[in-house]
Amino acid sequence: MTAAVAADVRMIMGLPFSLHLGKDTENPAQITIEAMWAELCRYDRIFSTYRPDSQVMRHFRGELDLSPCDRTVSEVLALANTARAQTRGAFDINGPDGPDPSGIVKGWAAQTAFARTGIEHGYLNAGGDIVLAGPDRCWRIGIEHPADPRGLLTVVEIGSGAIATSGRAHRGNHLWDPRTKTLSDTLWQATVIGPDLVWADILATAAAVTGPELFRTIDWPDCYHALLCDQEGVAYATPGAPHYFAIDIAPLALCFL
Amino acid sequence: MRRITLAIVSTMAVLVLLFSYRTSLGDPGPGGATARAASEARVLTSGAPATTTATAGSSAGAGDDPNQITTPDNSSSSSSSSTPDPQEAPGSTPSTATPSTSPATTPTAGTQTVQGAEEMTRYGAVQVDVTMSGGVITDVQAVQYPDRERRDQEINDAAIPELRNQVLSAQSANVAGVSGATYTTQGYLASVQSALDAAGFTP
Repeated sequence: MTAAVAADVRMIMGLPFSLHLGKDTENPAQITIEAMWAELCRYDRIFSTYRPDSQVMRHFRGELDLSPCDRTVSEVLALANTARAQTRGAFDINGPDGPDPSGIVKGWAAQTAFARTGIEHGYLNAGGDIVLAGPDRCWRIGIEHPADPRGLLTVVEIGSGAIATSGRAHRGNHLWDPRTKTLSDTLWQATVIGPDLVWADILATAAAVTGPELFRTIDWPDCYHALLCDQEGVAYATPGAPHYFAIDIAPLALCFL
Repeated sequence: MRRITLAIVSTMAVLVLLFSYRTSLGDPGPGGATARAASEARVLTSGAPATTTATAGSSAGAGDDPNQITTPDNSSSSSSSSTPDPQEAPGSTPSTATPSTSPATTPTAGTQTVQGAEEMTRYGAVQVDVTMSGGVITDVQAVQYPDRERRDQEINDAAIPELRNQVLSAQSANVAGVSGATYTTQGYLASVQSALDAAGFTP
């Protein structure tokens, strides 16, 4: 079956966002694409940490109360608090240089814009974190190999939902560990698949910092599935994760969490 | 196949690894500046007469079926799945391309090289040539990249081959996208994308 595909890439929030439409929805593709970029650019103006005059930056400097801010600001900050509590501090927007919401904004913005745009068959890739819509298992998504970026760790098949991968920052080997308030030499790459990119991203970020320990310390939500991998390719998975693996990909030697 | 590359283009990790020090941090300013540039890709050479005016961001092709499953070793399937669909997507998107500046062809078995748009990064412009043959990307070469300083040059000398390798290997894995820990902007990838758009690249 041939599907008409439209795709477009745009740099927003300092990240490449690419939108891929599997087939025409009610709107012509171009309208959907432009609506998506407009929505994401709106969030960028509100949340950008690069723009001194963004609402979030003014709020953090104490120049702007929450009430005159766009309602999304309090929504995202509340979400960040929930995320910190849910992950027992493994996810925290307060970094070495003060509060930096960009770690949660990317996933939130992609998820929210995708939902608001009403895409029924397509996906949005926000710098490696992806929100998708479509029939069951219609998208094949590769997961980057932590030790060999040219290769794939495995391939998963997802219809509607989200997938996020964190860890082994390509900028170097350090991830900020909000629990110890130090840079940690994490060796973990964490991929989380689930219904919502906001939480897939939060959980992946937390798991990359803590490794498998996270699954013993937090109340892990059943509808999210994780794949953790160390630099040698040793993989740990939640029991539901292999369900998503593409059948033609050799199974990983998995340890179940 | 095009989508595969697209996805890689948007998630490429190697470049981030190599460039994140300084060369590929894109301007986080008002969104859209780079995308505008992306519309200026042009077809340099073509193995086939121009039969359609492709528009950026549109494609149609049998190989785009996400359900299609091939093994990573699909050297033969790349040709079978790459039969050009003679019909342009009805939902083709005028996108940012200006048809008059990006005349494109329906991909055929001929080899064509398409130059991506010049993408500005904080440290200079990036531009690539993408070579396609029979609906398959066969090569990616940077024609312009930041090299004002020795450090840039060293980084880029390592990065360009990696870029090429990743685009090519993603193509053979037949995935729609790649999830990875990618942090920075990638002018390179936008340039590859614009080249594919300009060619109306379909598998």
